[in-house]
Amino acid sequence: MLRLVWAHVRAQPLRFGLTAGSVALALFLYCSLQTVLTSLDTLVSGSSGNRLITSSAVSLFQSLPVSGVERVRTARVPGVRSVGHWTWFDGVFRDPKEFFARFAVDVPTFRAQYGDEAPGGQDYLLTSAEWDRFETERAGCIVGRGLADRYGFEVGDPLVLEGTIYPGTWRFTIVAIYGSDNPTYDEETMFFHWPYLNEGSGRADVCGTFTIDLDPSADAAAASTAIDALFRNSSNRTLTQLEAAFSAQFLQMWGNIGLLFGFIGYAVVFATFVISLNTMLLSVRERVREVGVLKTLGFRASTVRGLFLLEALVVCGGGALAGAGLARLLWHGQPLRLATVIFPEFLVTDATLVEAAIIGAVLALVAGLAPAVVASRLTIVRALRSG
Amino acid sequence: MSRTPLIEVREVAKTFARGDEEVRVLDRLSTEIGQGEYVALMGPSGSGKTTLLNLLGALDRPDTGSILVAGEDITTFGDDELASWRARAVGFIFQAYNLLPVLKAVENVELPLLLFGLSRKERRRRALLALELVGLADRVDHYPKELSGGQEQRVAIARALVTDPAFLLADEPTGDLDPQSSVAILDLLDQLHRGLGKTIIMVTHARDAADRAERIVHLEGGRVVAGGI
Repeated sequence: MLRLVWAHVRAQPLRFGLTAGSVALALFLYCSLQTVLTSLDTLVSGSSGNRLITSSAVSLFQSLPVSGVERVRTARVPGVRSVGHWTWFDGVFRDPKEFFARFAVDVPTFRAQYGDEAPGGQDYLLTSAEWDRFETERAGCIVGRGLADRYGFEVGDPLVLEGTIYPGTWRFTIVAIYGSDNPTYDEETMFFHWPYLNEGSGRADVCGTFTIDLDPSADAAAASTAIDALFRNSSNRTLTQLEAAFSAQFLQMWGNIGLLFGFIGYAVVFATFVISLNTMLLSVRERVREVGVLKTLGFRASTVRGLFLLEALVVCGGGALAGAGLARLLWHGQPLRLATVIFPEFLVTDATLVEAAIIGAVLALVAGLAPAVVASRLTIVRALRSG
Repeated sequence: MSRTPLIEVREVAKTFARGDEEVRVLDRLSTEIGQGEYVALMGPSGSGKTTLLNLLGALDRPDTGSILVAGEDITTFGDDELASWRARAVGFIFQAYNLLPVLKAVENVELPLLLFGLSRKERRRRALLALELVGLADRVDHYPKELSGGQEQRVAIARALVTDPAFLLADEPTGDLDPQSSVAILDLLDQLHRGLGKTIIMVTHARDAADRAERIVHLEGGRVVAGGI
């Protein structure tokens, strides 16, 4: 039976090729969009449960006075182990299109929270000597392995940025290149000293967010409430939340991308369904006489139905496999930059592939069912008279 | 007819609707065809020849009456039962050959064998044997479009024979062929009848084709007017 189906596919290579190609394209797109969502989830779920992020209660883009860090430190909030801060630099490297994330950080705390002094292990991998050098060089910066590979950076190279939020030309020296084996942390970011930024920008003494590491046994909710209470009556009210919640809030700035991507994915699959249905109906219409011959030879209506369904499965299933396979081949394990979010590893998961296979099978079933039923219901005499 | 009857047609009627009008194509027709007999069905257009052939091959059902083949009333069979019966009991030869253009000659002949649960090797062996029998051993890998009309009809005959059916039904088998190919096909049918003892029922308009048969049944107005039993 499969040979008969294959003979038909071979006989109409352009038509079946285009249909399978449209299915492949749809499933490739679907897998890619689905992978963005999966990767976003990974970013959120991979965030530390022992880390709080404090940002302005007004907006994520509203700066906080860096004095707030000291205020949290001295308040001795139960469970708080260390307090650091990050500031988004933005800026332009060579060309505005050459984007990568740049953060000014309080390096000693950054090292304590993410480096070789972090109790949970390093998120950004550097040797102790490299951390020492980073701490001591005021205009020093570290960059991820991905960035170094992309631009051919080496330790000791100068790195010059044109400021956007912080105007002027900013000169740095690369003191180390970090790696990371935690999929939540990318290798595409640059970190440098906040004091260097602060002094160069006229000592505004502000930062973007506080990063607060907690003891493993700490009550995160109570700590969050206590920290926000410190700023309740100030002009800089804060919102403190777990890193995972912060990441989710950050991603929500894109709007409901889950719904948007889902809608696009399913719309494309639906369009493909219409194309596949059309192809299969054409296929039956052109082969009415063949259906008559098959039934004359003793093929049952159910077998004829099965033949057309199998044909739809070969075309749609083949297309789905090709599309999903291509997505896996092209994206899997690759870092991907999407606006300001960098996915350290864009993972086309097995679940996404299984989903694609199910969509392909359902597509084949739905697109093949109506033509198959039409074919199986043809009376022999009428079918033989056609054409 | 002194042979044991293979097919007994009893009081068969068939009506078709043409627009608002009902046309009775077969009018309580009865006849018999013996085991190993070669019968030609003749008659003017609309006399019911092809309809009778379709009913004998269970491609259609009569409105009333019964058709007994080897003692079994096939009009009582369900659709699936009829399909299985067609596969093992009848070989069809059409005027337009009705080969599948996407399959090679040998694959076309193998097609009905797919329903018999045979191994691929055995299917191929039987198909090659059938093609050899019709003189097309050297064309097994040709597609229908690469064959002449006469060769296509030979492939169709091989396909009809390959399951070793109880009888062959041929509907104007030489209708689309040139005179030379027609003679060759009729010779082949003679050979199948005389050499292998096949029962053949052939619808034809051509007198010279009908003369090859042992008996000519004339139909007119849905009834047998001559040559019936």
